[in-house]
Amino acid sequence: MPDAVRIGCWAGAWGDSTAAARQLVEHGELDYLVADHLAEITMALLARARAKDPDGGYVPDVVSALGPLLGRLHEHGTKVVTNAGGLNPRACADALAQAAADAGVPLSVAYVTGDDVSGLLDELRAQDARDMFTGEPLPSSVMTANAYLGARPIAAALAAGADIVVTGRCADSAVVLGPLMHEFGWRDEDHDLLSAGSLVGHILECGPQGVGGLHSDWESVPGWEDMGYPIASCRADGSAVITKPAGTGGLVTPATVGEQILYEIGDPSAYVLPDVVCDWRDVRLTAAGPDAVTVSGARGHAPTDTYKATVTSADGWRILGTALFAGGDAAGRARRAGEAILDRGERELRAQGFGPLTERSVEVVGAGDLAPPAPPVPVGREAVVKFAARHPERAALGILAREMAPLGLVAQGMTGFTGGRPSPAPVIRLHHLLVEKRRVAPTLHADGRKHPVVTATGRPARSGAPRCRSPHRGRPAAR
Amino acid sequence: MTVPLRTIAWGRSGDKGNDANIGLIARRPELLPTLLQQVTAARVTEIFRRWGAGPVLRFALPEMHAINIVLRDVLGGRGGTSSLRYDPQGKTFAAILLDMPVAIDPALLRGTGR
Repeated sequence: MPDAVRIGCWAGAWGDSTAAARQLVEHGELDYLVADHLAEITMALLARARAKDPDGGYVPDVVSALGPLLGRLHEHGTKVVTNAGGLNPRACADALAQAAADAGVPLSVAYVTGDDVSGLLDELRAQDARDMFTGEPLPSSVMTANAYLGARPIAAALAAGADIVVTGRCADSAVVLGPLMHEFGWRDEDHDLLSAGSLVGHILECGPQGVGGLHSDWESVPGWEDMGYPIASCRADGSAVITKPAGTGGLVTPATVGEQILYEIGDPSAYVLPDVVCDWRDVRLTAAGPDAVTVSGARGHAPTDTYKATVTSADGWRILGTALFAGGDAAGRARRAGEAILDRGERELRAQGFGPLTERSVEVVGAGDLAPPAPPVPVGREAVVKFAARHPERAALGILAREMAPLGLVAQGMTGFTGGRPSPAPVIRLHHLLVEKRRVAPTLHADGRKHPVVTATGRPARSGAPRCRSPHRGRPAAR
Repeated sequence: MTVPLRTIAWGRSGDKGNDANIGLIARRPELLPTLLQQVTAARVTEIFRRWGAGPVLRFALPEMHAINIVLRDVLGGRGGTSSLRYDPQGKTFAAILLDMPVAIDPALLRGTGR
């Protein structure tokens, strides 16, 4: 068993810098290079790509970013784990294997399937499965439906000798937990350790956000133009030291790492992941030198017997435009122009026989709409108005877009429309549901063969347990 | 004395479906009681009333001298993909909350560099 495993994360989302992988490979001395590419909406975007090309449907950045680095990764013995497989892990794995062959580098690529649960939807609808947050029934027509798989299939791929592991939808933090399960032999019932590894994944999965990105004391964070990407040096006891490559921008302190721990969590005593229910209330952060912070204290409980799945569906169209104003009472003119554009467009829609807008929104930057000041609201001499609308039909929003320009002849001191006339864009709606683990079959594809992956079955969630409680639950909130 | 929340805490916000969360870390452990006392669910609800904040819940992470605030159904849609708002994911919420005035014993500010 190694003393420590070094993991670096080069992407926090599809579209993150492709230079990040190079930074980590050149300066990180990594055992694992991992990435999370899949935001909630990403699968729907990939569905469109796959509709155009059956070999598409994965995040192509992973091939363009890692292709030139494969030689060095092989030289260092750095393994790669990524969820860039999206809707088509096989095609992504093939593309990476081809890139390795082109570079003359012998690398074995494995991939994980089983997250696509679209085949279960009819059955789930028949059982009246509902959105776990809104209680609404599932839409009749969906674009994608994918369960968040856990880290065990990734660990299994590494145990099978893979140098590169490609998955589809999995818990973001699983790209970190999988390597740790494999390296340290963590078992499904080592809940505290699985929680600790997931916490490291949570810190790393958003790239620079874990090492000074988004920090409140932004003026104290150097080097925004060359932000460091996070590295965790992980130990078998679950503790880890968070760092970044020397000489890069960013800042690693208990405050910057702590902020990321709090990012997008709910109840810290019950952060539900496929492998474990995490309790992070007693997590401790200790400075361990310049740009180094030790994380410890995570605890965990048995996972639930369900996977969370995200379903995407088409939900009409939207349009969004902006215009700039300056001079006295810019904000007043901006707001009136924004409302008038939507009113004018809506009147024209009626005239042409279209139904009303589904939703409309006018927000004025510079008038306190985004950050409400204490009254009285200052009178802005510079303002940006945003006007936006939704409608079931694309053509209707095309008409609305044409009705914008005339306002330039009506409102004083308007500079026209930033970025030109906007185009309607499809709206993708998200639905979340729980799918019983026994209905989902995570499968590893390695060495040209399929291997079913045995995962923890989990136990039923405590029925009626509220998702959220007061801070005083079970312990004094302040010590 | 009264200071902006930023003087005694760091913060970060984000989304989870139609909920937003704002994590706050007291700049020193001794400031956590002030945080708990002043940044109440009621005051947070008031600040985010414009966005139609539903229930506001607070959770504590004592070892990090932090609290997590969850604002239910505050993002005007079903996540970042279907909202028409400028900030459909609550990215600005921490920076907004950190402007909130808090009353504090000046002795507690020693050592925060503020």
